[in-house]
Amino acid sequence: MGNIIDSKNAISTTMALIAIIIIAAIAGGVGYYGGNLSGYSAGYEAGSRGAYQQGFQAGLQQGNSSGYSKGYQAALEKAKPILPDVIKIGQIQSLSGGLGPFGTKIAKGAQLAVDEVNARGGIRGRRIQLITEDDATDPTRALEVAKKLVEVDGVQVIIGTTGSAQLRAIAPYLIEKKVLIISPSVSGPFLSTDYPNSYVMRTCASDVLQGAVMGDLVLQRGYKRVAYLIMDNAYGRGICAEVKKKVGEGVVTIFFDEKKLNYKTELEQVKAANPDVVVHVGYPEDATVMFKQALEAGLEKVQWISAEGVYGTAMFPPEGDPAAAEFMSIAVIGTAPTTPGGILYEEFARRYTEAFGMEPMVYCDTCYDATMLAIQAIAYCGEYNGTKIRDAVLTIARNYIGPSGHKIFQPNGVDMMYSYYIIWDVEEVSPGKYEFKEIGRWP
Amino acid sequence: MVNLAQVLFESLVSGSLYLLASVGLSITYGLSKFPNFAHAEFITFGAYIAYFFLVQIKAPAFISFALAFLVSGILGALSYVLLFAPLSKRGSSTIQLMIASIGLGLILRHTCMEIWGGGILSFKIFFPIYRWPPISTSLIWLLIVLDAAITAVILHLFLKKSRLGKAMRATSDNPNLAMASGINVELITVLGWFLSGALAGLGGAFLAAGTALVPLLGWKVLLSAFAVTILGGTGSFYGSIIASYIIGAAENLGIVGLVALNLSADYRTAISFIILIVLLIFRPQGLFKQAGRGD
Amino acid sequence: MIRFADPLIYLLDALAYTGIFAISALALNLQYGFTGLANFGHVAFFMVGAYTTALATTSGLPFPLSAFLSIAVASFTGLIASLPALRLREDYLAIATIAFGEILRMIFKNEEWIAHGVWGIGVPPAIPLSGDTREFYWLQLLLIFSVLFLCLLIIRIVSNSPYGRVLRAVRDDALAAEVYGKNVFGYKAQIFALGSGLAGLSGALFAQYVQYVNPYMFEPTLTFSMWIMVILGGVGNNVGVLFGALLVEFFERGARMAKDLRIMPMDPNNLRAIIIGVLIILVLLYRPAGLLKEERVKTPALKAFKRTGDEGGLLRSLRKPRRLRERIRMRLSKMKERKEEELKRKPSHPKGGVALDPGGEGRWLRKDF
Repeated sequence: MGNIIDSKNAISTTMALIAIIIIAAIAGGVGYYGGNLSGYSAGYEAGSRGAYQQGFQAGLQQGNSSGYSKGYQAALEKAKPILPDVIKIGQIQSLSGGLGPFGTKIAKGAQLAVDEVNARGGIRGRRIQLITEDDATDPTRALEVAKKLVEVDGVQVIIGTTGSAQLRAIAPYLIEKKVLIISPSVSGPFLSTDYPNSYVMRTCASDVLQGAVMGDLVLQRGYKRVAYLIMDNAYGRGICAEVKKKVGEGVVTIFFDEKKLNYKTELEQVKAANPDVVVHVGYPEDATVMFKQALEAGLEKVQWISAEGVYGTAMFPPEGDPAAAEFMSIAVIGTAPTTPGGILYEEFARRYTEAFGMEPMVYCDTCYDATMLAIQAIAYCGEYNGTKIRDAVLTIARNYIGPSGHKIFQPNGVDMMYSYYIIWDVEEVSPGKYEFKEIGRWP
Repeated sequence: MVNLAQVLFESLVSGSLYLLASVGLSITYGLSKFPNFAHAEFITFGAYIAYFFLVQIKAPAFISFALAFLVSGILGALSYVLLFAPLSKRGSSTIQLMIASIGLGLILRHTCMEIWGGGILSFKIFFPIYRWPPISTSLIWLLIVLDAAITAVILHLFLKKSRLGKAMRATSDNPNLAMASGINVELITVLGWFLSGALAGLGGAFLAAGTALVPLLGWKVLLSAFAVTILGGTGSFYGSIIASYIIGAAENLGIVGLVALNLSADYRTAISFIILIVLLIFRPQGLFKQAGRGD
Repeated sequence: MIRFADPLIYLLDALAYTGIFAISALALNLQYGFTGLANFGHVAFFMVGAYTTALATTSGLPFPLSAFLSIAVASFTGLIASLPALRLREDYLAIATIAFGEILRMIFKNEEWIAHGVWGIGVPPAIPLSGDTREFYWLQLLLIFSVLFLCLLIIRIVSNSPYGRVLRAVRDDALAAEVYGKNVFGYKAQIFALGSGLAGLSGALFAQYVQYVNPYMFEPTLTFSMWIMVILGGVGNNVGVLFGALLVEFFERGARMAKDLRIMPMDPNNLRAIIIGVLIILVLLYRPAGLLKEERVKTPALKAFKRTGDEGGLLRSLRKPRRLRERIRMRLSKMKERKEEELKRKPSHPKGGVALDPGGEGRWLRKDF
């Protein structure tokens, strides 16, 4: 083959490498100095040194102890970690992608909390800025925006994410950076087992419970032939596994593709197995289609038990599909996490609807509570520091009762102590108008 | 124990849907000789247009769907005139045209998402449900089957009997010869793209009415539509008709098989992909060999 | 003083992703730019590499070993996939590879026993440092860019050689290459396997950097991203592909940052996608070879030709049997004539059938080799 690498080859390759390194270095330098310009840390440093110096000089000039001590006090004030002028709270939700419909509504719950507190003057007179980023239901993107929020915006507390996979991807990073994340909607059991007493918390209940509730419901009502119609993702599979622990394998298990949006044949399979009850887990996007087509398939004769994914007025007209709503009113009951304090939730729902022109759905209240907890914790500890905020949250939560209930945490520092579930049903109160009705509670 | 009649009916419905989605694809593939990935967005766009007129302007359903047909057709024709024609004149290769269509798809999809949001929209029509045991279905699916049948018949007459249709077939088979015979190849191609977009848009509108409208609507059917197009032979109209129903049946019967084997029904799209791959390996020309086409 | 925010790390992070995807894009460029193989399922091999590393490192293997395993498994998968598919025309190959990628992804998603399905796997990083420090990022960048440099070197060796010239011949006119006795299928399969192996390597780096893998991270949009890097940067030009990767990654991040700096008229995510779509179309219309043109094949023959200015050097270095030289000389002069004629005519109708090179003119016809 002769000269494989001749000198010209090597030179141009090296030049390419040098080009890469130079670009990286320049970019790095620009980034570093640019970052420093906007960093609160730089100002803080200058401030603490400057104030102390000023005080000392003034004291020396005055030649009296009060001047010196005033300066000293001023320096101490400055030197004590204080809250920044604008308090940032980060939010990562799925504003597009599979969980898009969920995330956009949940994000507004946080917005409501921030707006309300800002209207009352903010935290110790400082305005709160909510920085919301979209993870597009993609774990890689979630990690990217988490890094952006922490490294570029400098947030120490984040509300989010919407889905489990995204939280799983960013949790190790946030724990390393000691940034607190409170999730309003991730119900996967892995949070409690993998990250106890750490920087990951949630204001919603673990699916271990929801699965148990659904399972109890099945047993309570004496159903024998159970069909599982489960969306094929972490959420669905998690709940399915929990229900099966109580109820058993059932007559047929179908994991459906939540993106396919056409389930007639899957429904045929369910029909063929002749069940008494269908345990269903889905999100509004696929559930609308599923229910519509179930109505067509004649499956409204069978009882359906759904998880809280479909508990939301988005399923009903005017936003949702009339056929799906009709099916729900005939055949579906379900479980959803709830709050014991009914009035607080109603108040919240009213304020939410007023502010955004749409009704809240499941997890909007937990998001509101998560944000409120974060805000109150920051005000309580007076410092913008992830670890301090985390500890403050645990303290505050002991006495915090919000639209989604009493938020006191379990000893593992991740889960709520108290989780309540309601059993809901759907009623057609007038032609074309549907409502959720509570028909039971758990425990 | 499975309701075989229902499954077969569903195959008919799926097949009709794929027919509407893939006939257009087959036409443009035959005329311009590249797979048009923006076809997915033609489908989605039609659905959004129908939604706009039906739900936002509250026009009658018939008008809305007709407008979806027309506007998507115009979109198809414009795509060709503004994008693909200039590109082919500059001597772009098949892959370059394909990538351009992916780019076009991006633009269309995100424009729709900007206007209508990225969430799920519903047509809010309550289609009456019919039960003729052992089959049960709703009006929208019957309409789809009917529409597919009508489309097939009209296209058949058009392609076989009318001069324009014959010109289109000629252009698809051998553009140089067609040009030499005095056929205005350019005009025919524009017409073909119009038809392709129009049929796709109409199919999309129907699909969204029967299920739900999401930005990725077209992509759900696109890869299966490619399977249909290739199974039937690119550019072969009759091939794609038959292929649509074959693939429809394969997917639906396949689900029965999957569940019986305790596999996830998530694999249903994998079925058409596997068929596609097997086809490409063993018989890329598809069912109907066209003279001078294929590998 | 507690250091909270460090924008530098965000920049380093962006560079890390650029490096990782650049390796994949280079592999794609090797397959498409040099050999004319339109592989649209590239993400599948990336995914295979990522999962192999994930499974290997969680079973206790050190990263270098896992990376080698990833390369091997991805190459092998590529080889298997290529055997049936390479006979296909380029657009069919594209569709077949997309389908293959999707099938593979579905298998990983649904079969929990392989790799935890939808739950995903956590992956320990290759650099056993805390991720909180700048040192971690600098070391990761060192790792990623060293591997990138290595891959660049490998690809350069492969392409700037008589082997590489055969690849270009396969790309431009596979039939002619067959006539000259080259085993076209063999070359294609080798390159497919090599490209897949490199994609697997970048997948391995990805897995240990992000420290988590999950089927939702490997959708076809990732393949399209890599294609955009190749097309924008320059088909057949490796440095161009590097710039393409930089462009795509920083554009995406920039769009996200832009919405903090000023109120945007529309959702920046949509705006970014639309701009990328428009860019692709503009590039294809006005600069189809990409922003940077393809390089010449730099082999000793080129040196000889440039030095002496006569084809004698070229012919001698080809080491063909004597009686063939006459035919080659005639063919070369005929090609020169044809090329000059072609430049005078404008191309009027798209050529179909056989794969063409991206520039629209057969590079095999160039005067200077």
